[in-house]
Amino acid sequence: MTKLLEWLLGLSLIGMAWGLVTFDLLDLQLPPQYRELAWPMPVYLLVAFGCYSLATVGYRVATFNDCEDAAKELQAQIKEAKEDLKKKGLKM
Amino acid sequence: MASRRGNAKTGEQADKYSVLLPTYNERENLPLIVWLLVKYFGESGYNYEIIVIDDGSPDGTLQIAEQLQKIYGADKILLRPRAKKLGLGTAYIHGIKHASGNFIIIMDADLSHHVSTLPLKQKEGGYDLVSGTRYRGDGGVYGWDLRRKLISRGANFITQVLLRPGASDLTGSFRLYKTEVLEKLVEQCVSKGYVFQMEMIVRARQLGYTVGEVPISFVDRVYGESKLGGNEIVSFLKGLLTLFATT
Repeated sequence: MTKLLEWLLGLSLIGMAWGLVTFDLLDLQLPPQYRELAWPMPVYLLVAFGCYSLATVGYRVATFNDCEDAAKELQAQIKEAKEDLKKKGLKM
Repeated sequence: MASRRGNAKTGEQADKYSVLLPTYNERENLPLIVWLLVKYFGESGYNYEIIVIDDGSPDGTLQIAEQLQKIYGADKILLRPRAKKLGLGTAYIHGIKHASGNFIIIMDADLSHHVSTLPLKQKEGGYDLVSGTRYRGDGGVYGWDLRRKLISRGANFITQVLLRPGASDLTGSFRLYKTEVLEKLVEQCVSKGYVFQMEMIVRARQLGYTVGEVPISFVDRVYGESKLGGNEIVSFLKGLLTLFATT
């Protein structure tokens, strides 16, 4: 199953569950608190996911390593490489 | 009989690493990459070969490669050029045909990493595939401004949510594969460019291959600028959605 299909399946299941509870499609006569809670759930979940995404990406950007040492090492190695290669006869 | 390398395990002698270097206009970078590879493989004692796959570069990359071959030997530097720019997937297929190693290492000709971390990690866990990551451990980048970091992390986040690939960095191209694993994957993957790299890992997980990761320091192109404009972003999203719908 492709990821797309997985998502569609998952969303359909959640959607059905939500619809069942909110609109009482099976005539389960659930207490009104259930319906009141279920009704705005999609929006709540979207907002929660949005916040989670922002926080996660923000955190990851803030903690993105800057490799100063690697850059310095590379610059030194480039110098060394050029000298060594010239000695070995490379004409750039 | 004491081994020159000290702590020799008999298996090590048998492993050989073929480094595939697809090049296009890498006249400046190629000697440096080769020099670094020779240095690190030399220090590590692993058996290796470097296969330069030049796609008819107009800047004389192939001539530089020929000089390098004279310097380091035709058993270490193999030249398998092609007539024109034909794309990454076919470059790998072409390279594999000429590779004599049981492991293949892929790297962009403009990255600079300690290549010996790949074989090391592979031996640690017997992985089918080892991928370099900028996002874990002490991996990272150099010289990236906030915009670029934001786009990179944002794109990676979306990728993780949509594809759940089981690897932290999909667009990197510093990887080691068991030769037969790479053969199998290249057969299956249909995307182009770096989306191809992403597809390789996604498919690898689907086929049940084990993926190890090593942190890498991505120091920007040794010479020249890396592009990350609107076009790149759009094509990335297109590629991502295609993978989402087809894998």
